[in-house]
Amino acid sequence: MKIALLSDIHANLPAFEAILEDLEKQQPDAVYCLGDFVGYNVWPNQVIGLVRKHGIATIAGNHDLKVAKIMPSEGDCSKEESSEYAYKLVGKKERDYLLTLPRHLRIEFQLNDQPLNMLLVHGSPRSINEYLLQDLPEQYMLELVREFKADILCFGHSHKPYHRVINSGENSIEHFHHLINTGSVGKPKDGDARACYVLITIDQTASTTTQDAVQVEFLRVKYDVEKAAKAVELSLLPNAFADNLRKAY
Amino acid sequence: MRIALFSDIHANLPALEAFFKDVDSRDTDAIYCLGDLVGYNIWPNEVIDQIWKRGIPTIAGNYDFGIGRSSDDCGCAYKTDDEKENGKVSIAYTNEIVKDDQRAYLRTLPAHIRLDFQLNDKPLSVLLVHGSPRRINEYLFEDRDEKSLLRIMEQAAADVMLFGHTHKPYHRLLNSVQTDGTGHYRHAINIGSVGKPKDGDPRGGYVILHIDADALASNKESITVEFIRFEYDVEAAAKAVEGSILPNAYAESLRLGK
Repeated sequence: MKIALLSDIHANLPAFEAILEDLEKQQPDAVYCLGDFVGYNVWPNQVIGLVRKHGIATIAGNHDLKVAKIMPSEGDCSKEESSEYAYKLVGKKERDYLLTLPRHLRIEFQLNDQPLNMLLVHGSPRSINEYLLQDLPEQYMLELVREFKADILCFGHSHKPYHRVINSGENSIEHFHHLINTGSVGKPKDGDARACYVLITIDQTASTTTQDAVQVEFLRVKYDVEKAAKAVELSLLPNAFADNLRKAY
Repeated sequence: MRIALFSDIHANLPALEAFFKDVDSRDTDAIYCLGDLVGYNIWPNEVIDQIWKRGIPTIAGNYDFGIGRSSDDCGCAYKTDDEKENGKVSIAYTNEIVKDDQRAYLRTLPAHIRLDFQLNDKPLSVLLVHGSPRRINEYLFEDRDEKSLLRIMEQAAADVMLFGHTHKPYHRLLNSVQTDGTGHYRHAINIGSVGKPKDGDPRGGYVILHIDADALASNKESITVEFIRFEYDVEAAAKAVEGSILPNAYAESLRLGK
């Protein structure tokens, strides 16, 4: 089973279109998206339209929930620069979509008569806002994967992709857990401006006692960064967001 | 949120193509497949390819489980000797024609998918299984004892449970009253079959699950199910059976929806 995971598109249509094109080539068996469709750029409705059209299974991100509180302006047209503009752009139908998304998705495999649980969350299983960075103490991560019964824990939110394997096994019986940060499609922050997503290949021999039967590959896809940056500069969004895209920070 | 769920295609390509045409016209938010892609007709590879190409999240059915492992047992509960004989022909034939990549796809399908919602800051868990949470080939018919059905859902912590396997669609609303006296509604939903209906209606069937933005387990109206039936070229599917070494009884089943 080859599963593609996307996250943190952040209204960046050129980046998302480039990813969709790449997915055509990769032909994964299933595609999931870990949230944050909106914020930071001008195409939230177009991105959501494409996600729905492709029937991509999706969970909510913290930015998606912001549309519950930030409504379109009803008074005179504002000329003030504001990051809130990104949420005001979101249409009625798109708001309804974002506000009824599930928080977590759990995919339970039973490939070898024992469960292998894959849990998809936006930030962490505890909180949609928590950053699970690569250098967190192993003990903390072990407690987390045990509490939420996650053998393969997948998340986004930090925009910095990584794959880390930890072992919770006891009495010389190994129990591997994969921690996978998907990186960001539309707003990478790891110094590489290209769009990022991840392909997870689960072999038929996969179980919690085998480490290599779960393979993780990060794909970087070139897209028209300048177009996305210019769109920011031409809008009421802060110009700093354009610089973020060009330099990936 | 409007989620389309379909299952039990059973290698019936004309039915699957008609399903896609129908569901594409209904502007849903997501699509999930609850398994049994193969068996009983001539297009197992084509059906897998179509679902694969769309990247639809899919769980394994009992027939997929069997074919994925090149087994001669599909876990089906055949009653008569005729059914058993016919079943042997179907699984041997399917094992023979399914190609390597398609078999590997079936072999690694997940068993369950769970969607955890948190609307109004309250948890609402939607569980997708093929037969039941306990067994891939358990039949949960509509006349199941209410206590037994509730127990299955409570043990699986499912507020909404969607399943297929019997090919007979229904929606049962169950109330597990909480200790404080408030209602806690659980929805047991059999989504019917795209490619081999058995409820007397030969048209393909699937469901669209509607979850309101403020859906709560205590409000039974906030979660509703739409049962959809669509026409397809039943004759083409039946003729394909008759033109193959598969038993003609399967063609008759398609024509009569039984």
